Amino acid sequence: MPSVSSKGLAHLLFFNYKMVEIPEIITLVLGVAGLFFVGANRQQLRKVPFFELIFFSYKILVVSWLLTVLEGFILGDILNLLEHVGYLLCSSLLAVWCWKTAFNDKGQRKG
Amino acid sequence: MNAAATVLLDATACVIIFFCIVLVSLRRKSIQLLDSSFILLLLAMAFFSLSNLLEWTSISNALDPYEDFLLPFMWSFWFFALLKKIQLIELERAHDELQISENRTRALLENLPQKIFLKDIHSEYLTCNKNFASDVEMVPEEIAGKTDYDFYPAEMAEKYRKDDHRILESGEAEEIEEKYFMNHREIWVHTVKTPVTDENGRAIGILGIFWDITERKKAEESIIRQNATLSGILEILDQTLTTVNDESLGSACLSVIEKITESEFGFIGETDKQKGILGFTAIRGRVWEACLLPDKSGHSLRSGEKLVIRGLIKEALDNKTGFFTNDPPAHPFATGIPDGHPELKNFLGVPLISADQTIGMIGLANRPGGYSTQEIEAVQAIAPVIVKSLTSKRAEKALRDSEENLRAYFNNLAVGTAQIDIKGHFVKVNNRFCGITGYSREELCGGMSPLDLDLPEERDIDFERITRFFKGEAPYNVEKRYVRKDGKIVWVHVTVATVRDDNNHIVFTAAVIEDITERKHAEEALKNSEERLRLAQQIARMGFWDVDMSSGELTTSEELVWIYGHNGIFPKTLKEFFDIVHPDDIPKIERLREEAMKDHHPFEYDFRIRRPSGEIRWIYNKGSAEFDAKGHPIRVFGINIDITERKRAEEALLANEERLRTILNSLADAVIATDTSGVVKSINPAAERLTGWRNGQALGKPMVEVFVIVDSDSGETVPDPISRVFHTGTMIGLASNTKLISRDGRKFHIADSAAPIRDVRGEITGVVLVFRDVTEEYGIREALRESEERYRLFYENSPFALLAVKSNILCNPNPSALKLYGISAKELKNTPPWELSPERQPDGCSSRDKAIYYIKEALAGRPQYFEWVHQRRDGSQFDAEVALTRIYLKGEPQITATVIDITDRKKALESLKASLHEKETLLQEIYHRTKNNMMVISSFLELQAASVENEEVDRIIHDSVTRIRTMSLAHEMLYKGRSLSRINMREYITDLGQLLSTGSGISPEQVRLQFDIEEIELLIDIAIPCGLIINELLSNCFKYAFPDQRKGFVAIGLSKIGEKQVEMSVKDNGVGLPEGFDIMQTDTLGVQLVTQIARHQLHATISVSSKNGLCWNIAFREDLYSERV
Repeated sequence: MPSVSSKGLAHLLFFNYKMVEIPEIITLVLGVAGLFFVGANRQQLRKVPFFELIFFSYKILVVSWLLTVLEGFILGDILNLLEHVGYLLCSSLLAVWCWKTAFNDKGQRKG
Repeated sequence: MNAAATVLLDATACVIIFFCIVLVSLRRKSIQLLDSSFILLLLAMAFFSLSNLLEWTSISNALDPYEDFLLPFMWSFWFFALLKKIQLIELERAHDELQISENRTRALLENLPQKIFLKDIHSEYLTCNKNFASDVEMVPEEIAGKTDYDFYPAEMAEKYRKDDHRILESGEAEEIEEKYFMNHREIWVHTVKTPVTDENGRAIGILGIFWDITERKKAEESIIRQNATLSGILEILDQTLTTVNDESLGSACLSVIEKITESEFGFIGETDKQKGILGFTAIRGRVWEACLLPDKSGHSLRSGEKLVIRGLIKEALDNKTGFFTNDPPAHPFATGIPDGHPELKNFLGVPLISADQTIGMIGLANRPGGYSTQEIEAVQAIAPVIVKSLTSKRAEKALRDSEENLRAYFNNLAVGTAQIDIKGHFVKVNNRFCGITGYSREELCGGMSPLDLDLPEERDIDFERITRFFKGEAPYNVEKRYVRKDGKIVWVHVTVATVRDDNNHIVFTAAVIEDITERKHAEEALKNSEERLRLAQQIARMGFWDVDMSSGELTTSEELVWIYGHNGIFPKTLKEFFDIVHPDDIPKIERLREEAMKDHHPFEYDFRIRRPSGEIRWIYNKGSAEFDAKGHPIRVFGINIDITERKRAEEALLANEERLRTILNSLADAVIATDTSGVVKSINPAAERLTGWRNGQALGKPMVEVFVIVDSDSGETVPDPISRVFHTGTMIGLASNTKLISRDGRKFHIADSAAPIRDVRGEITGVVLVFRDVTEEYGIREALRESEERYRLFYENSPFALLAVKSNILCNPNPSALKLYGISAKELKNTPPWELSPERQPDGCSSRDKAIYYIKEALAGRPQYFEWVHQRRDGSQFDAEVALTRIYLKGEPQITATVIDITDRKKALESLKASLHEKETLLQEIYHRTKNNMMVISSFLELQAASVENEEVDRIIHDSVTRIRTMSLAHEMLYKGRSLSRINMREYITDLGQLLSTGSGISPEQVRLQFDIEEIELLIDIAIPCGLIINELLSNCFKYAFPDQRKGFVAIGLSKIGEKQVEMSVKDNGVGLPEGFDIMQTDTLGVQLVTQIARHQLHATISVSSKNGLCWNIAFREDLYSERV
């Protein structure tokens, strides 16, 4: 493991940041609003097959947007990395949902 | 590295998204919820990932400004689209379900057997099911818009319309059963009409459901008819039970049938086939009244009348099922009707059949509307019942007649009979049974059972017997006792039998009793007689024997075997008999037996036998013989009695008499026994000694001659005690002062008693007199009596009050006590001592407490003597001296109180004390005056001395003054002291010493006075001489012992040196006496005074020593003089 000096670590942690991005903030607010919308209509949306998978995917995306905002203040590189990991997870879960929905009809509600 | 990773991540995400797009595109039809919104979302996601990838690969930032808001918008849009899609799907699903439900409902309605319709509020049909539509010959689709007027007659349609309005107005469902005619057919329907309302409760139409109930209605009518028929049958059956004869029953049956068939009239007839006629059992209605005989003498058709069988009647009888015609005149078998018979409009005839034989018929006529099969069926149903009822009624009558006969037979039987139900209660009893038991029929059949007639102690046995009988274990055929109602016992012979039904169940029990009381009494008497005889023989231990001399057969009773104790075997031959007889008695027996046979007289003797156990028994044999004409004995018979006990009793009696005689002879008391005539029969030695009569002399003598007694006081003869015993029949005692005069003239005081001698029957057979010499006791008793008399006299005549105190209560006062307390003996009774005392005694103590204390102390054995203030009933008080002493009377302690009135003594004492006080005062005054006089004399002398120039004279006067003062001082101490005759010597000598020291002119520092004086009080007769001696001796000391201002001391002592011996000493340490000087020989006045006073007044011994000064010792007795005050 390469040794990291305390000064370097502090720089890495607290000084390697960018400025606050207003669009990111707005994106986060819109994402959270979407969460509230889903929460309010969750009873009906639960009828969607494997809805919890979708909802979890969306929650990861919102967390990624949160990390995007936070990386402007702290741990920029790490949080950025985590943000993109979140994007990947979100996409993966969405793909899983598509696959399950397309090839498995057990989750279909019977009339 | 961070950028690379980011690029890698974004690239992966981008690839995944594109994969999704491809997948969705391929499987679009499989994903129900997929639509364009999701495609847009995927595109947005792809755009976003691509933008990131381009940005982080630094290829381009051109897409970056568009990525920010795109994704949240697209996600939200997709969620919204999903929501709407779901709602749409659900709506479609609900619609489908509704359609399915509607189809089901319609199918249900179409397939229901009921007819269903729906009308609007204007009574126009909206829809209906197929059944309803087919009912009005339409299809359901054609029914809409039609009204009831289109299907039904106007009046029906109007009624339906009104019903609809009423239901709509009331809002309540209605159920209606109604009929209508359709195609000339009567149809019954049950209609249910229900108002239909919208969600606001407003009526929007009427739902009607109705169904055909015609068959049900027909069934109901059939049931009603059958019910009427059954009611008729029941009524007939009821009449069967209640009517008294078959005619009444027939009339009742006819009435029922006429009522059921609504016929105007009818009849019930029975056929006589041999004669071919019909007899009327019942006939009613107008026929009876209108149809008269041609001669008008009576009714032609009446109950009991006969009618020839023909026409319609014959047809009905021949036809097994009966027939009816609603046009009789036109019937081919019609033969017309009798004169006066009402017109026959229709006719119904049903035969009465019993055991497949026609025995009669029921004829009915004139039913309004005519007859139908229903009426004939009803009559056919009832006809068998009528047959049965009539048959039963006639059988019942026959049975009743039979039962009447049986009852008469039953009641008049010579034996008592009873019928008992299965519960054990009498159901029926005959007269004889009542007569035997004494109970009425109502009482017996009112709940009594045979056990109630039993003796209480025999009920359990009888119950057990009955139980065994019912179990079949034993028959019930016993002789027993019943208790009649009047309490008398009656012997009965009871036989019981059960009556069972076909199932072998007991229906009832029949008991037959026969009064056998007289027979039982006879048997009882015979049995008792035999038993008494047997008992008598057993008690007397007597048995009989009988020998038939011709056959040698010996007959004995059971008791004889028992007497001989041979275990049931009695000797059969004479030899066997003699084997058990005691050998000593055999000769006697043989001799007596031979004599009897020879002399032809009875024989009797006692002899002994030896039982197998070895026991010897005494037998008394008495017998006699019967002889034939030739004098030969043909029969010898007799009795044997076991007299062993009697023999033993006789022996015991003899022994007892001997023992009694010995006791009598040993008694210290004299005993004389007489017979009823007063003649002496026995006398014991003690009586011989006191009376002076020897046994041989006294026996046979009259008692008054042997036993002479007189009154010791008067000397008169005392009444004969023997006669008194005979007179009173009880034991008596003589007076205590009876004196016996013996035959030789000696006299004894005796105490005696006489008692009757009774036999076993209680009758007096003699008198026994028991007496003894009490001369010595008499003397003691006399002395005691005299002592008691003396004590009584002393007690009653004592001047002192004497009382007893028992349990703190005064009792037994003597006359002096009553007089002292001024109280009667009755008043004194139950009075405690403190009630005769003031509440408190002079010392302040409670009289009650103090009295209880004294009594308690006295009871403890400590005699109490004290003074007590008493108080009489009148309130006056007196002082008394009381002495309490404990005594024992009959073992019980009590107090004897002696009270002496000391009021006078007290008064005298008070007076004496006052006098003494007065004298003491007077004496003190004398002493005081004496002292004053002496002081005056000494003062005169001192005045005189002052004028004398001669020193010698002056000294003499001064000495005299000193002596006078010495005596004066003694008197002063007397009147100041406690005693008027004794002087405290310590005070006296001390004061005297001080007086003399002061008067001598010598200072106390030069000559110191020392006193060693004991506490002694001496009479003035001794004290004054002592004072004068001390005066002289001290004066000498002060004058001569301490010259030249010599210092020293003078010691004065007074002490007891023995009993009543006192020694007085005066010692100084002065110059003492010159050598060879004998002070006793000197002639100085002082020394002479000392010696003279000591010797003559004190009779003292004087010793003087002169060693280291001078010392005077004077010893004298203190009791030289007696006290005078």
